[in-house]
Amino acid sequence: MTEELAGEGPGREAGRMGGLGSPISRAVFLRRGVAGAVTLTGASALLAACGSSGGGSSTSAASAGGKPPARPTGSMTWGLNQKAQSLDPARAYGTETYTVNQNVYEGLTRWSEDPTDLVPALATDWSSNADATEWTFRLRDGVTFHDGTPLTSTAVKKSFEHYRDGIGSFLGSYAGEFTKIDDSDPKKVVISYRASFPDLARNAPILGIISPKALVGSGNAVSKTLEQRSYGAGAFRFDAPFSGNSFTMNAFTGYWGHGPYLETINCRVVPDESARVAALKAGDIDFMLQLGPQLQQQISGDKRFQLVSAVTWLQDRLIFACDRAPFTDQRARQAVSYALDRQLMIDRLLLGQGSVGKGLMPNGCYGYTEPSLQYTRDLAKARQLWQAAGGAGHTVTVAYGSSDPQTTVRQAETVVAMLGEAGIHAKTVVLGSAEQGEEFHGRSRKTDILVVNFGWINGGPFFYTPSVFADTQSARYTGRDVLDLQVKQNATADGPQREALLKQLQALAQERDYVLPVAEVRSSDALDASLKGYKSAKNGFMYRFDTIYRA
Amino acid sequence: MTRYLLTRLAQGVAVVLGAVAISFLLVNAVGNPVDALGTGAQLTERAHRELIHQYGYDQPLPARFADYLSRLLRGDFGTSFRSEDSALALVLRALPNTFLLILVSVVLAWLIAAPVAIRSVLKRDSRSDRVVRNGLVVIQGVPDFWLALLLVIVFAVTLGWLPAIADGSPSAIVLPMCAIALPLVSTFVRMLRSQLLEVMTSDFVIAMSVRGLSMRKIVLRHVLPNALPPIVTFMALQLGWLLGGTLIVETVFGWPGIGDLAVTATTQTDLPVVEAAIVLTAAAYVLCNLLADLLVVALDPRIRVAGR
Repeated sequence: MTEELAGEGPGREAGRMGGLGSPISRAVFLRRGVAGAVTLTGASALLAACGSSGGGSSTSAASAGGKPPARPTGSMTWGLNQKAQSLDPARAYGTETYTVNQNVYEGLTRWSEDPTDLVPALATDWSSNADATEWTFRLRDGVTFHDGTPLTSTAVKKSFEHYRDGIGSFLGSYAGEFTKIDDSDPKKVVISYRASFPDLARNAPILGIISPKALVGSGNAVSKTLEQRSYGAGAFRFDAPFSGNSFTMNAFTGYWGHGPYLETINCRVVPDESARVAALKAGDIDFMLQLGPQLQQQISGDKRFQLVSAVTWLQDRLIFACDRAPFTDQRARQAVSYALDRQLMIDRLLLGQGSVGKGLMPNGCYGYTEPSLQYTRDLAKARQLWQAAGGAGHTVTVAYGSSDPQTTVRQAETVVAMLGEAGIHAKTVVLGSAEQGEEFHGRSRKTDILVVNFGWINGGPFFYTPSVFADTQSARYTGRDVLDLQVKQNATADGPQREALLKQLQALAQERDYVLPVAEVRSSDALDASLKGYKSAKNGFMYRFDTIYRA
Repeated sequence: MTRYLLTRLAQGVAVVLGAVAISFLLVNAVGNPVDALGTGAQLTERAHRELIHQYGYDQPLPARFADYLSRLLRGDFGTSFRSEDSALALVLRALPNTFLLILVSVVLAWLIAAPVAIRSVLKRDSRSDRVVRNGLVVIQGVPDFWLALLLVIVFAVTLGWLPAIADGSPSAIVLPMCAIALPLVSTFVRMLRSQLLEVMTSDFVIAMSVRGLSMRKIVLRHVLPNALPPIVTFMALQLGWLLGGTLIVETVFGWPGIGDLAVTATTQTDLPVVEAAIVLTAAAYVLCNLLADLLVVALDPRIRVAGR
């Protein structure tokens, strides 16, 4: 071995690679290596010259006058900021996945865009009994799933069971703890609960109905089946699993409703927002959701693009820690509320893209009542209340999550600055995902104020259900007056009685000050000017593409 | 040689096991990811309990580590919390994309750096040499995130020559490749120049120049091959940096590589994927280092293997 490896001196044809294969001189090895490298790079350059310049979209032969075409034509490329994690609708998490599911898996009901009302989808009508322990949905005729299976009550039953029991399901709480689903009549489904569940109809849009053929077998088998292709009844379908950072939705020609008008929606993941805007301007994508206020300035005024906006049910809010001194004292919470200029925060941070949050639910949610108590900035009052609450010497920790958007980060910093002007010393704290979860669900709070962007995904008081995600829970507020009202409203079906309870609840929650709404966010989506018919989703989560066409 | 190979393999295994232990401890130190899911997913108590049990977070840490290790030895890296895909499959799909990007970037960087370094040696300390070297220092100081966006603005948005994102077309690799290669050029030029100058002081170089060989021929045919072994070792170390360093470029261009996967998995608290990405990247790095060592042996016949 030594003799084979020993060379005859540098620069000579020596140094054979003994023991590793057929003998080859070092010089030859080097020449072949360089030649290979040059070939590889040259091939890449050649391919670059020959390759297409991007995945932009074709224009359709849409009818003149900008009306939707008779058949789906053309395509659109949607730039997502993160992958739609799973094709299983029960594992939906995040705006992208909710949006994909909204277009692929239709629910019993859905939200119309303008005005934002709950309208029929796979169910033509629905009702509940007086205490909302039993719901009846009548199913639409002539609906088929992407695999050709007709819609029946058994599909609804199996879908709900999948949402409640499926592996890794995140949406079980939306389906509720039903005790029985009667599917004896194929056109009618009756869902029974042990306790009141008054928000089922408003939760139904997120509970897309799945073809029963896909829900056969063990939990793992079902998960694997649902990742291969779509089994919904929505306007779009996908016929192949996710691959890397892209996937494609194709028009479902058997869709029961109007549309879709686009043949294909190509989905490309571009995590960085600046890069997404650049891709939009380069023509590599046609559509992006929730463009930040700062970057909107790059698009507005450019005739090639349009911004479609809606004041959403996304609410920026501060959640106080009512189990930490001095915030156990309501005066401390009020001091913070008086110290902040929320309109200024909206003007500077959101560049006016929003309105001051008034109630604990966004305007437009079921049961919303504008509270009479509204805070305006009063630094003298803030100082006085802070002193009275014994806050002197305490440093307020204002926390946000490490994966929160920049607007949330800047809100936290602005809160600290404004508190400082009122003589309240404060600092920001960044929380990791699990720490943030602890702050929401753990036994006690470790930070004083949580800055949160909260989405009222179903436009109603579901999030006052104590077992789900009530503000009182994350604020650790234990006042019986509010908690009892929450339980009462959750045990009452929609109607005047429930609305009265919700009015009381909102007014009382405002008085008790455990949450301060900062802003109701206006969300703007950027798209190519040739795309028509699009309306932004009020709930800020579930955007629909079935009305979009190319003019 | 075989003994050397086995020793290096054993060392590599030990390094990977260390990466396994450290990655497990680090990702589990951030807390319970099911709680993190709960902030957005509004889990019921029951769903929360079932997820905890399903993912094993109701077990103590040492038991979880033992279970994790035994599954790893069977090639089971767990499943993604988000998509139920095998974590191993997700990483193995992403790694080749990163390797491809690194490979073409490094080749491009060397294709620029080698002639520049050789010219710099031949025209040492001339005005043009100083201008080029100072210019390369400036380029090296440019942050890759900024460079990536600049390339997008110029070549994609303004000129429209190339795609701004990884859209599946072959040309989509060009801009990310340039964003990685250009800052590397300066490092490679300095490294190669320094090696060439060192070899140039050898007796055989003096002897050849006395014999009348042109400096160009001496450098290209004799000095350059002898300067390569340290370069190969350097490249192996660079690989580790690049495996992590492509993360920002992959994020900007939406390139479906390991960096993009790791960032997404981290922000989504998808711990099995994070752990798989760390372990497999460490394994890839160890393997590349091993190959680099073997390549050095092949290139330089003067190296003796210990234990003759």
